[in-house]
Amino acid sequence: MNSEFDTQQYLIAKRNQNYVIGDSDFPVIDRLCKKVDVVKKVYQVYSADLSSKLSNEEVGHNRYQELFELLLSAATLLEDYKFLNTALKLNDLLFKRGMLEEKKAEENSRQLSDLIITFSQNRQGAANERS
Amino acid sequence: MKDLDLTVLFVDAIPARIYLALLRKHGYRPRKILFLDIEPVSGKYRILRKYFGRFIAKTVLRLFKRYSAARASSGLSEQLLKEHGLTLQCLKTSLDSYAEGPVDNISVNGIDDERLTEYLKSSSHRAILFTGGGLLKEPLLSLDRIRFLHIHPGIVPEIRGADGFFWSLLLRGKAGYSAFYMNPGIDTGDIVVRQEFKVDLSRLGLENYDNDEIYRALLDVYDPCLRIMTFIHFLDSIFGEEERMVDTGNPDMLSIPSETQNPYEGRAYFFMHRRLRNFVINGLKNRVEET
Repeated sequence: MNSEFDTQQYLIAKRNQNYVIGDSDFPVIDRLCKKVDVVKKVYQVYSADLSSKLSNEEVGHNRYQELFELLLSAATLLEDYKFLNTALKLNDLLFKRGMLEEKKAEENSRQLSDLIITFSQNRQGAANERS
Repeated sequence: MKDLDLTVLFVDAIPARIYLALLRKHGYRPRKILFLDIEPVSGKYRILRKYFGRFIAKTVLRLFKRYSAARASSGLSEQLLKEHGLTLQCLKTSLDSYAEGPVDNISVNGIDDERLTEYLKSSSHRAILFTGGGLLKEPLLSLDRIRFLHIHPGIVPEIRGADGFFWSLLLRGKAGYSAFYMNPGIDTGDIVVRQEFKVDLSRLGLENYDNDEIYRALLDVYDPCLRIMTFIHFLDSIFGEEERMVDTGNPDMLSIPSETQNPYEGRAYFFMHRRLRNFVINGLKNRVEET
């Protein structure tokens, strides 16, 4: 088992797999949420369980974009509000740091807002079916 | 009044005052209140302290905080408090009237100040009700013969972390609460009780308030009321049960039967993005139209 988690390698691999989400990705993405939500920075290397950073170097612009795509994909596939929440915050963060143009940030924001409505409608539909 | 062998760790803010006011209203009196006089860290405080001294600076900031908080969301907050038989005015009651013993006062730089740890080590406090004010950490949480009770907004282990009130509404359609003995993990302590409440605010005309105002009022007033009511309902259920009573005729608050959590189960949530939070609040407004 690896003693390190290489964020860059992981994100590039996910991009090459078109952001397909497997069972093993869920805990990884869940832990990456904390980096965005709390620390507001994603570092290049963490311990294997992502509990502590092993590098002081942040991932670059492209990796942040890939993380956004990964969160979006995971949120959509799993209808997961937590991933969606982190995607909203990452979008804001990238815009604030000049890594995203205003137009693209607004487009992302609209897409995520539409997802909120979709999740809610699907949940409501499922609840209605149960009753 | 039913006496509780419980110390309230008090940080002066509306939620802590709501805890005390509702405990009293429902006939419960904690043994002690431990008032944490926390040194502010803001620039305003530093300037005031430089020119007028610590005492005046603290007093001015405390008064400013209390009255501006009361004004900021007074209309809706008053309505929410009224639902529980309280008013903003009654929250200004002197702390001496809430507890069996005198109010202990301790000056600290923050809730993790070692002066608090040292103080508790040498005191007779046992079960302590946490009312907010920061994160309790080690070594405070491992002190001998002391256990901290916390009432978290969210049914654990499913909903841990921040903004639990809003995550509960979004994910479960109800406001959920869990009281537990704190441990060093994030909301992973041994569970004493869990309860959920339907949230129907249709009487309050939420459409007349903007979402930020509703957010503040829900966090400052509504959520603390439901937190402490969860605990009060639990106390109501155990008072009088012979097997739970000790020599004093009151329940032993240090060893309430509790359920151990698996820290790897469930999920920790973080502060909700404004957009998602507004969706939840708009949902509360729409419930008004549905009813």
